[in-house]
Amino acid sequence: MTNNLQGTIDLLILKTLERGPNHGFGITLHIQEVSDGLLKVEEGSLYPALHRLDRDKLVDAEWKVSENGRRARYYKLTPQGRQALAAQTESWETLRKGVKKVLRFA
Amino acid sequence: MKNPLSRWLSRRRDPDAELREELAYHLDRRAELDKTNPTAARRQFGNVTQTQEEMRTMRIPIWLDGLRQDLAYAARTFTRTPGFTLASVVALALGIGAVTAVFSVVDPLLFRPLPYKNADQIVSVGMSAPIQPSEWLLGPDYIEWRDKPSAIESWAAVEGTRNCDLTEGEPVRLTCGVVESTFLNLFGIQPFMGRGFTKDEDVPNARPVGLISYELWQGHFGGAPVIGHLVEMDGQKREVIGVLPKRFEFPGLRQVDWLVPLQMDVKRQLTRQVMVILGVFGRMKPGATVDQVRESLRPLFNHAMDYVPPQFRKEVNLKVSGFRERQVRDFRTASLVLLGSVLGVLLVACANVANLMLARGATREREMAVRAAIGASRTRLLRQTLTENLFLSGAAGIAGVGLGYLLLAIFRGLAPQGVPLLATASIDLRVLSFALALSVLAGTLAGLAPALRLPSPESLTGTRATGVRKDWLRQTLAAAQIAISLVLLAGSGLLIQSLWRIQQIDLGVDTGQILFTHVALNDQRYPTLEKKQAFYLQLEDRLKHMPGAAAVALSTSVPPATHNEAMILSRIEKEGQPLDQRAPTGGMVNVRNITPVYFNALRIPIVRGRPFTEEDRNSTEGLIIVDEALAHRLYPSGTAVGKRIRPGGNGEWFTIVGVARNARNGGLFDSNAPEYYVLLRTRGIQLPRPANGTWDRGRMYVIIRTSSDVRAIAPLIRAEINRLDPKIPVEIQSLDTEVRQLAARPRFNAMLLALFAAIALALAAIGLAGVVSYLVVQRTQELGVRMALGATPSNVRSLVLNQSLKWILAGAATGLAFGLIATRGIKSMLYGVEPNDPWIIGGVTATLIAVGVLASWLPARRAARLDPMVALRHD
Repeated sequence: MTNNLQGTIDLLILKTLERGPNHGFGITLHIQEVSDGLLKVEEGSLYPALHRLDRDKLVDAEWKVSENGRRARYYKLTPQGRQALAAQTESWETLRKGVKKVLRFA
Repeated sequence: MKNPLSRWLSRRRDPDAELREELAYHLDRRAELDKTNPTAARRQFGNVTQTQEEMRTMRIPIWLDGLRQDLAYAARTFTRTPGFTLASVVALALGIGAVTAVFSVVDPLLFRPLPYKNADQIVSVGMSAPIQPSEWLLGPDYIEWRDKPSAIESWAAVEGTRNCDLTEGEPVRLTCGVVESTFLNLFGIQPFMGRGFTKDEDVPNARPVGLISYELWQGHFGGAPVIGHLVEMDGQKREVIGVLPKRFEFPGLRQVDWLVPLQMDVKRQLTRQVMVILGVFGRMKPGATVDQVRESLRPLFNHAMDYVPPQFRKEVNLKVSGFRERQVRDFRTASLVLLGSVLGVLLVACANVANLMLARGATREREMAVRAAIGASRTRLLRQTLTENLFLSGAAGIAGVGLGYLLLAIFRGLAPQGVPLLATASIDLRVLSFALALSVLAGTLAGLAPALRLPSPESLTGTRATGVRKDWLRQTLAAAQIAISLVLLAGSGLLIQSLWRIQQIDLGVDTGQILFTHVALNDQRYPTLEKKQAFYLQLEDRLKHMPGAAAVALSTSVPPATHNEAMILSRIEKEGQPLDQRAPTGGMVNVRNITPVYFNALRIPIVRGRPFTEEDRNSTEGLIIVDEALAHRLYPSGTAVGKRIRPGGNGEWFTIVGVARNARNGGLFDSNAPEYYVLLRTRGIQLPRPANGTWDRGRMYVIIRTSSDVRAIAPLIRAEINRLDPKIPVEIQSLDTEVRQLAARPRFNAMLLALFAAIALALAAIGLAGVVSYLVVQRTQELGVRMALGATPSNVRSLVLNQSLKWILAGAATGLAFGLIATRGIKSMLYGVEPNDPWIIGGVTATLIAVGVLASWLPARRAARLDPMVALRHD
């Protein structure tokens, strides 16, 4: 599934980064793996999203040497990012419940 | 120390390169994982370039990005129209540069806080009289006022400045400020190093101490330790106890090198036999106002008046003024006029650029309409226009500040003495911020009119339906430029006329080929009258035999400058006519003690009687020569020659041997005082000053008329003086230069105003020509029709000219009205010409109209040469 819902990709990124700093490619892999391949991040929109989060100070970026010995840009959750994650998780849950109820009823 | 790897990791790089690297990493990992090549990975990724672009926009806030777009767009527009850009930037830069330079000069005088603590609590108090309108107070009165309660909590008196000589090493002529020990405290001045005066140092015959200026310390003493050092001044060792702060401003804005204690003899002052004249400053009690101070001093003033002869009382007033007012009194008008005139230039420049922008706006109307049509909001377009203006004014601001530096250097070159503090004026942070604010303001002002224009949908049609609706604005702007230029031209015309009048003043002396130098003998090395006299006579003799010296005279002062000695007219007793003790002053009479050669050297003719002769110098009888004015005042009917007078009403009688032609003695501007010349006799007789005709002052000018080059003879004079006494500092001046310096301030003002008026006129003319050409282009089709219907080229030409003439006249009339009001404000700067001088005002108006017509002529001629066939097809 490709996900175009505004904000969803942010939530996925923030949630992934909750486990620790990671680079863009790592985030892609992680989302794909833990969702058992159900969610596939569209790579073209991942990076602009990361940079937007960086601009909004929800994540912090830093160049580090990655596991394969090359330079990679690592993103790390900031305290604001953690707050935003909590808020977005909650609103997502609400949305999910709401949608589920509607679907069940219909 | 970080390891090289992390340093390499953390170093700042080109942000775009970072974006590329980040994506490349992703693509490589993707290719590796999927076991494909990077190209395939790239394909799977989607549009890499677009992603990069999106990421790039994430880096900057949205509004900033809009600004970036606007700026980029503006830069593109401006490079597409270099002529317009250059014209606007040059016009604005001229205005901003002129204002910046003038502001840097007048700011310390008008606006900047004075370099004293709570300067607004300091007042200048004293008496004022027609002979000395600035506040002064006699020693005994000051002592009394100081010790009585009033609204002033602390006092300090200043005796003003005097020449003092550094008589060690290479002798130098310096200026000493003579102040009471409370001076530094009152003004809240902390010495740069060392300390201020103590009370004990401020009593008669106390050990000589002094503070030196920062500049003297840096210059003459090379910044070496000086505190506690003894320096020989006027032949006396004086201890340096402190260094004054940088940019120390003495009251009256005069430059002082030393500050020495007043050492007033209180007991002697209170006898009122010999009285010192003081400038008096006070710090007001907290919350007190200048008016309250005046009222609290009124009883003291009334008491002081008891000592003033009754007939003089109504000429004397109590005067209390704020310190800044006192400090800049003489320069305020000129400073405001200069600042006003450059602001006028800036306004003209803004109007000019506004017109250029309107013209460009017209040609861009279609572009704007297209942008509006495809969705740009009104505010977006407005912002675009304003950004463009700020872009322009930013460039103009930078160029203007550069121009400001240049102008400031020119001001200094024009007249170092033109304005006080000019030498130290600089474009500092404060002036720079002012220039910046000014640029933004100018840009906004210039851009306001075009920015507020709404692109009309009709513009999209591509027809010229939206013709001439904003023309009144353009023409009003052109007329406003003419009006402002007229005001500036009128002002500069009047100042130039004044300057011309000043240069036409008949000084009564021939200043060419005259050199003079002030030779001061101190009491330490020349303690007696005889020693002083012997020195001067010996010097006179040596100089007389010097090659190139045509005439050598000794005199106590040199015309036409002021600070001469003076005598009250009604105190000159005529033989057989005892002094009338109740007579009013009758004004002041100038007194000069001279040797016989004086009249010959300065070419002052003796019109009646005879000149002094060399033999007269040995005379035991007092001899005197009066000028025509004094002869007339003393003996309105009848002859003065042969009469005897007694200045001061006691002592020796003087016989009038001749009457000299009037020579100026009140500087260039003040009215001339009558004058008498007392012969310096070899056998001097001590008499009350200033009528004594003796040598006891130890201060004498040597006046030399040379038959050769003045520059060649100056070193010879110096050598002769130093051969007699190597410890006397010698400054040789030429009388021509001295007279030119007296006119430095009016010249400075006139030249600056003329410069600004010329800039304004040029801008206005260019602006007018621009508007008229624009109108011609707008009316091309109409003119074509007219020509096709039979209008001759001269018809067309006068049609265009008439239209612009209407606006020129409107501008001139407005300018004339404002000019007549504005020139009244510079009345105090004028000499020998009235503010509404019809010739100047008329001439200026005529010039302006002529320039305006000329500026319209070129586009009008172009209109007349239109080919009707081309004109009709003009879209």
